Amino acid sequence: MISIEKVSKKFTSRGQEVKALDEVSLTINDGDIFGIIGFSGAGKSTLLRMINALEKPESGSVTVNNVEVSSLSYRALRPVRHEIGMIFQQFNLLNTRTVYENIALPCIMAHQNRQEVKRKVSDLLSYVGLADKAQSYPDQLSGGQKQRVGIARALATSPSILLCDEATSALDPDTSSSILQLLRKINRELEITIVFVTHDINVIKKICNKVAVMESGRVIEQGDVVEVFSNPQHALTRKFVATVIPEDIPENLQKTLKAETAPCSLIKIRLADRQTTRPLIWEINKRFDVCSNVLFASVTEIGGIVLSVMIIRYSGDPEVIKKVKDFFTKNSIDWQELTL
Amino acid sequence: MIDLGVPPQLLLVAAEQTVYMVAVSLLIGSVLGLVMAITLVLTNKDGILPNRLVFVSLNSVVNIIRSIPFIILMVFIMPLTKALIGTRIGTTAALVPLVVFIAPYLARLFENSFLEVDRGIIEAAQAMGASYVQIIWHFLLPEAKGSLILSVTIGTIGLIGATAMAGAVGGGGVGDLALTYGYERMNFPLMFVTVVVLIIFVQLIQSLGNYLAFRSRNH
Ligand SMILES: Nc1ncnc2c1ncn2[C@@H]1O[C@H](COP(=O)(O)OP(=O)(O)O)[C@@H](O)[C@H]1O
Ligand SMILES: [Mg+2]
Repeated sequence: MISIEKVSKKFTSRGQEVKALDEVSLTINDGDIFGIIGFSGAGKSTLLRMINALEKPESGSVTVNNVEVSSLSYRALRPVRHEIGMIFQQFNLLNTRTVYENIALPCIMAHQNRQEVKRKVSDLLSYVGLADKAQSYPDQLSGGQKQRVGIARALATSPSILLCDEATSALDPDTSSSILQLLRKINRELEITIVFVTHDINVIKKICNKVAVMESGRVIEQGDVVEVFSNPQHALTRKFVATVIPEDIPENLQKTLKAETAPCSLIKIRLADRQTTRPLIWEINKRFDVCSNVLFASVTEIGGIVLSVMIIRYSGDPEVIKKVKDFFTKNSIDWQELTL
Repeated sequence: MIDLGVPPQLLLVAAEQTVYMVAVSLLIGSVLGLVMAITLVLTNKDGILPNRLVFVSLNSVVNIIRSIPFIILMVFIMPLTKALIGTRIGTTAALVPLVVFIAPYLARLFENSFLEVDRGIIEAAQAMGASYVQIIWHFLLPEAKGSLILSVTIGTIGLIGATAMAGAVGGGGVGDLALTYGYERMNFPLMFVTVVVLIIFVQLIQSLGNYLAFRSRNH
């Protein structure tokens, strides 16, 4: 378990003081794939680097597997860091060493037995799908292959936690997906907790179960990915979520609707999980005999759960429409009325 | 054969002296330069062991020595030479000012080579729990190797230039031969030959340096 409590950190660069972290608190449980999302400069990397103590807090504490890493000396940190692997956006591999040597290095530095190292590295190479690249050099590899080497190297000391700093941000979408698949496999099969820092909401959508949203050194929203995605509270979170779950009526359609004068109500509903299989619209039409028109609909899968957003226009008697709204409320369906 | 006006052995002895002075002072100077460069890189404010006092002191020492022209430095540190070698003159005595001259020069070149190493790589090293010694040995040195070789090459060529002035303290060598026989006695053929020899020396060293640096960077 990783627990970050009221951690603050300031930097001064060119006389300008920057609050990189402002009383940040987070708990990351064993087995989580915890995403930290925010725009550039939000403090994500600084927060991530607190976990393996590459950065020390000014106040507050960071505890990893019951060890308070924020107060350890460099020497005392070394065994703790063997427990925490890290991968980077720019891979940070040794260019003068082969793939094999890069992955073996953490083992050699931990004074492991040569035969054991050999076995371990070849196991890791097959695990990340690079068994034939042992003798290649990093500059002979593609970005995705380099990140696989980075992952294998991070796993070499058999860590229980893997920190990822924008680990897919330098890769094209397909490669990025395959790296995310690999990370998910590592999380499940090797039971490694993953903390993933990114500015890309797709990463959160694809692999994370928990998410924290950061802005200006603060965590402004956090929780289960499904909850945060289905009901984002903060404006920034809504903005991020809207890029993967669009929920606006297309502009042209808006223009047409504005020109119409007949009385109607625009209702946006959000359905999650089981609610999505219910024949809701049919039920309402049948029961209230109301005229309905779906203007917009989107269905997205996140963390194995389906989220659907619909904008429906109900026209007719306002009394009847009121009843429809009551029906949504009674059936605990998340709804809101829109104005154009 | 052109008549050089000096016995050919003299040329050989001079070449030997130059090689001796360059090789020994390069070896000692490289070790000292490496230690100084590593200290500078580690204690730098963006380094992994920031220490303002150590950095500023060492940095000033390097700057001060580097700003003294070699010929003045040589005379200036004569007492040190006497204390270390027992004499102020001769080829071995010339080693002291040569080392004092080349070590800070190499330190600065090496420092730049180390600073070229991507910070991310050092960060990765720290993240995997490397000790300071391991960071230097497994990360800094191998990643900077190609650039370090080029720095040594530049240093060697600088040293060859400096040994020509070592004649002033009786160091001998090819440069000294050119000055005493060639310049003072107006022996043009000798001067020409020594210049050609020096050019060949420098070319060979530069080519070797380039080749080794290339090999260490490209597998
Ligand atoms: N070593 C540093 N020195 C000075 N400022 C820094 C340093 N590291 C980070 N910062 C500043 O702290 C803020 C947060 O940085 P960072 O954690 O890297 O953000 P993110 O990873 O979200 O882009 C930024 O304004 C950045 O400029
Ligand atoms: Mg960052």
